[in-house]
Formats: sequence, C-alpha cells, structure tokens
Amino acid sequence: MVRGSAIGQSIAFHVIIVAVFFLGVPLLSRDLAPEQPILTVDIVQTLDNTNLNEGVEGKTEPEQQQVEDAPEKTPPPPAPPPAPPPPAPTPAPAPPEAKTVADDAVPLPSPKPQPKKAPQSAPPKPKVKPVAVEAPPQRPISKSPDYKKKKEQQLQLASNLQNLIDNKSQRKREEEEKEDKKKKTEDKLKNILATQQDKKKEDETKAETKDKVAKLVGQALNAPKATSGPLGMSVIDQLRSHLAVCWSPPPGAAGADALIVDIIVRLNAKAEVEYVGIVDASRYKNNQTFKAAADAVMRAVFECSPLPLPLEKFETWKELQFEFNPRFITRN
Amino acid sequence: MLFACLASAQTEKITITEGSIEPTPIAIADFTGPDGKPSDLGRTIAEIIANDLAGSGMFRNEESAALIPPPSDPSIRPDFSEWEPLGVKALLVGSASQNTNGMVEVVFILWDVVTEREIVAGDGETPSSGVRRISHQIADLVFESWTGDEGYFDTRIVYVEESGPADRRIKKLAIMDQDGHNHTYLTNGSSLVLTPRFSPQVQEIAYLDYFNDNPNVYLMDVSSGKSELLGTFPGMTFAPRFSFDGKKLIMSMAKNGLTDIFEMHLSTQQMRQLTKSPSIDTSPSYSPDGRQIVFNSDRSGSQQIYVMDSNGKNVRRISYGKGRYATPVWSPRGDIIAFTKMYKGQFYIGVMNTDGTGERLLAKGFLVEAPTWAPNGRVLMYFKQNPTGDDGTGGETYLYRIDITGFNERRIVTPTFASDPAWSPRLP
Repeated sequence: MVRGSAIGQSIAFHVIIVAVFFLGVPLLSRDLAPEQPILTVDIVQTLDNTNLNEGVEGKTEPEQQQVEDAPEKTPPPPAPPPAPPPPAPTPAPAPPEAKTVADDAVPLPSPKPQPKKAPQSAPPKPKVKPVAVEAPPQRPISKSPDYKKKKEQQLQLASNLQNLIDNKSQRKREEEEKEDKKKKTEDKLKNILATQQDKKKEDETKAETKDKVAKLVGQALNAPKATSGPLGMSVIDQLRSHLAVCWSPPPGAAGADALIVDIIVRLNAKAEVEYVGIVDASRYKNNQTFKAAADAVMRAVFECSPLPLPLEKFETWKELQFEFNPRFITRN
Repeated sequence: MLFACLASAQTEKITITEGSIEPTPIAIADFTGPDGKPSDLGRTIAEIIANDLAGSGMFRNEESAALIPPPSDPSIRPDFSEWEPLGVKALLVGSASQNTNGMVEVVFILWDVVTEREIVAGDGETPSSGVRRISHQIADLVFESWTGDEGYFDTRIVYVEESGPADRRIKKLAIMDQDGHNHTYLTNGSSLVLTPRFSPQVQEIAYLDYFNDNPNVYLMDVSSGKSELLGTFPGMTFAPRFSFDGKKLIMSMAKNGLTDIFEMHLSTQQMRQLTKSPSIDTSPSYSPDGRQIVFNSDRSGSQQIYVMDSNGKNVRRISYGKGRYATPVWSPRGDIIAFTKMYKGQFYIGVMNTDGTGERLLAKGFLVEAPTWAPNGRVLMYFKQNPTGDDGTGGETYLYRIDITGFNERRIVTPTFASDPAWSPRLP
C-alpha cells in the first residue's frame, strides 16, 4: 500500500513537474523587448585619468578654418596679442595684452556712426605719412676741357630720362585706374559671393546642428554633465560652476536656441585665458543678436580667468572648446 | 558605440548651461567739452542716456564710476584698469561741443571693459533743440549693440490727460517723449477724446472724439496737429487700432444691439465686417504680419481672448485661466500677446504666448488697464487707477511701464492724471 502510494505520488510529482515545464516555462518567457541600441555605461570615477570617450566630435579642420578665415582688420587694435608664452618661465605679458582678444578670430566692430542727423565719420584714424626720400649725393664737378659739352649731354640725357619716366608714370597711372575699376567690380562680385557663401555656411551649420542633435539623441542619454576626453569629470564640473558665476547672457530676443555660442579658448600655463575665438565667425559678423550673446560669452571667459585647471596637466587643457547654452533662461 | 580616438583628443567640448540674468553694470561718463572736461551739455546728455538705459531694466548705472574722470576725448583709449575694479562691464565715453554753425557735434564710443574692445562708436550733429533726441539715439545704439535687441528710446507716448472734477472731467490728448519730457497738448479739451492709437509707420494718431455727442474716428497728423474725420459711425465705435503696415484700422462697432469687429481701409474708407455673432466682440488687434487678429469676446459666456484669421475665419479661443480677459494687444515682435485680466476684484496686466500658453501676470492694481507695447516688444505701458471713495475722492489715474520680465515697474511723471497711453514707433 505504501509502495503503491509512493509510486503514485512519484508519478504525480513527475506529472506536475512536467506540467510545470510545459505550461509554466512558456508563461515565464516573454516577448523580447524591442531592439534597443546597446548602451555601454561606464562607471566614471572622479579621477583625473579617465578614458571615457563618448565620441563627441572635437572641432576639426573645417571649423578651425572658419575661425581663421575671419574678416578684415579694422582700425589699429591696441596691441597685437603676444604669442602664448612657453611654459618655461618668461616675464609674463602685462595684463591688458593678455586679455586682448585675437583679432583674427573676433572681428573688432568697425565704428558704426549712426545718429541720423549726422555726417557719418569714424573716430579719427591715424594717417600714414609719406616718408621723405633723400636726394642722391652730388658728384663733385671736375674741371675738364669737355666739361661744358659733357654737362650739356648729361642734361639732355637727364631730361630725356625724365620724359621717359613721366610717360611711364602716366601710363602707369592710367593702368592703375583701370586696375582699380576692375578691382572695384571684382570686390563687388566677391562681396556678393561672400554673402552667398555665408548664407550657405549658415544653412550648412544649421543642417549640421540638426544632424548632431539627431546623433546625440541616438546615443547614450547622458546629461550634459557627462564628460569625454582626458580632463575628467570633477575638473569639468568645476569649470562649469566657475563660469556660471561670470556668465550673464542677454535675456533673449529670439528663442533661446538662437543664442547658443560655441567658442575655442586658448590658455597659458597659468590657466589664464589668452585667446577666445568665436567658432561661427560669419554669424558674429552678420547677426546682431548672436554677436551680443557671443560678446557676453567672451566677457564671461575673460572675467573668469584664470580658469580652475590642474596646472601640471597643461597639455590636456591648453585649448578648450565650450558651448554656452542659455536654456536656463526659458526654464522659468 | 562610438569610440572615436580623435587626433585632437585634447579639444573636448564642455557645455555651460548655467548663468544668471543680471542688468549690466555700465558707467556713462559725462560727455566732455572742447577743453577735455565734462561740460554742462555733456552732463545733460549723459543723464538722458543713463535714465534711458537704466529704465529698460537691462543696465544698471554704476554710481561709483562717477568718481573717475573720463578720457578727455572719445578717441583716447581709456585706462581700463581704473574702471574694472568697480565691476563696470560697459563704459560709454563721449564729447559734445557747439561748432561754428551753432550746431552741437556729438561723438561717442562704447567700450567693453572686460575684453577691452570697442563695441560701437559714432558721431552726429544736431541743432540744440535736438540734443535730447540725439541722446536717445545714442542710447538706442548702445542698447542694440550690447543686448542685440532693438532700442526704443527715440519714441513718444500719446495719452489722454484727465483734469477737473470727477463729474465734469476734461479730457485732452497729450504727447511727450517716452521719458516724459517735451510734453504738449494735441487737443484743447472741448470735446471728449478717447483711445488714441499711434500708426506703426507714420506720425499719425487715430482716436475717438465725441464731438456733438457723436462718436467719430479721427486721424491726426502729429507734426501739423491737423485732424481729419475718418467717419461718423452710427451707434458706438470703440478702440480703433492700426495694422502694422499703417494702411488699415480695425475697430469694434455697436449696431442694433450687436457689437462686432470691423476693418477700414484708410485710403478708401471702405468698411468690412469681420465678425458676425450675437456676442460682444471688441478690442481687436492685428498681428505684425497682418495675418491674424486677436480680440475679446464674451461668446463663451464670459470675456475671453480669441484669435482669428484676418478674414474673420478660424476663430479660436486662447485664454483659459480663471477670471475675465480684455484688451488683448499683439506684440510688435509677434511672439506674445498682452492683456488685462480681472479676477476676484483685482486687475492685472499679463502676457501670454499667441496660442494661449505661458500666461504670466506682470502687474496688478485696483484697476490696471489698456497695455500698449514699446516698438521693440519688451516693455509695456498701461495706466493704473486708484479706487474712488464714497466722497468722490480718489480715482486718480497714472501711467506706468514695466518690463516683460515683470521687473522694473515705474510710474511716468505727467502734469496731471493720465490714462489710455499709446506708444509711437521709433521716430524717423
């Protein structure tokens, strides 16, 4: 009896187990979640030597060129900025020079005379004075029998030469006038082309930003606090809070997205700001609202100089890129 | 996952998303005369500019900077190390002198003290009667080049001045600079005048005049002071407003017990009816592109704000907050609508997005009404009335202005009580 029930129980248990396998397991499995991009999450340690690299593009050649292709120089700038001094101790340049923004990236605004009742002239520009030319030394006159003849020949030669020179210079003048006219029309054409190109570049950067946004959306959803490159999270956080104190953007004419400003900053070994370049130089030139926002960013960076950076790691931060995004304005 | 090992791995992009909104500390040096020292004329100019800029809420005059003598001429580069420790970020330097023609010559330059760069410079010439205007124009240039926004300082305000006892009010049209100076009267008070509105394009004002107890819409040329009758409308006509191209007037008219919105072409004086509803439709205002009209209607049972296409179609309600809404006005920038709101016995001036979202209240009072926009769409002017007591006292009305951030509310000084302000476009 006991044996029979034991077999019965055993069979029952077997049946149960089999049933569980056949019925339960399918219940346990679920549909696979829809394909998600595989996210690798690195645990970032607050050490200086992190290697986390999200693949955020550094600014590469084309945009560097934009910076360097910047427009004309305007009324003589105060002092040309010195080249960044080498890390070896050298007498530091006087502060005003260190703060001068390099002209090649940030165009100084040409004087805009505008009160409407006015003849419009710019503040006086230093004029170039012609340099006096010394007359060639006279040869001592020798007394020789042919002296008079020779002298007359010399005079005749001289006057012939003078005529030739006059003719030449007149022809030159005429040619120069022609050249000038040509140049003027060429310049006009260049300007038209340039504005067209600028418009193209603006459109291209717009398209690029759209692409970038799409890429970022597809990547890991890290808050902007995530870092990349060798600087390290804590240094970047420090930079952020340091610059937040100095930055006061204009409250905003158009929507806040119009006022995102990208800059390149070059520092010396003491982490002092030596140069700030606006990446979108043509927009700086053509768009008053953007220029005001960019000026505010430049002020912020210079005012916050020197930046809180580990001095022994100069090579890792001697050139930095920043994006100033005033979205906190619309947050309220 | 991208693991791009970039050659320029040292350039990584750091995003800064935090900062603060603060008025810019600015030093406006007294303009110097021919001797290189501040002159009385120069002090006047500096004061006009300082008031304009501080009144906008975007700048703050740094008082301590007054102790530093300015460069004796705008062409001389200032010693920034003197100004910087005061926290001054912007420095305006200028000169003003009378030349042999009796004209005043003015030169100015605006410096960015932090980056030690010139931001804007210019010069101008004016007869002495135009010194205030040229100062406002300089303030506009400073404002524009520093903030990127359009200035509004070279503008005027027209309003209705009220005087006399409460039961026999005398109302006159008056006009003044936006800073309250150069005040003059446009009408003499012999008839009742209401709701003046500036054309956005030319120096003309449309207003209501109850001449012989009939409501008439007049058009006045400000420089000559001459008025032209646009029409005498049967029934009541209210609140004419210009389109932004200055070619049309939009208004509401009460006819046979119905109040609807009508549009009139100024050149032909042809009228077109835009709404036909049993409700009261009033207070219309065009969008800057002329394609839409915002107005006030009680068709839902209470006064609310509606937007429709300029042909009268596609009417949709945009206000949904608590209370009643009135006097909607479209900003010259096209991005927001200002309005008056009444809730629980209080009046408010507020703004909302053109779809009705983002409602913000900026000012409140016993009675605040009739906002008008500065031409740059960043400042509002309105009037406030004090409550009237049972003994007939009170009821004073004054003009106020406020930033759209809600800060910087200021009263405009007028000779006596004032209401119904309208802001002019920038003077030509």
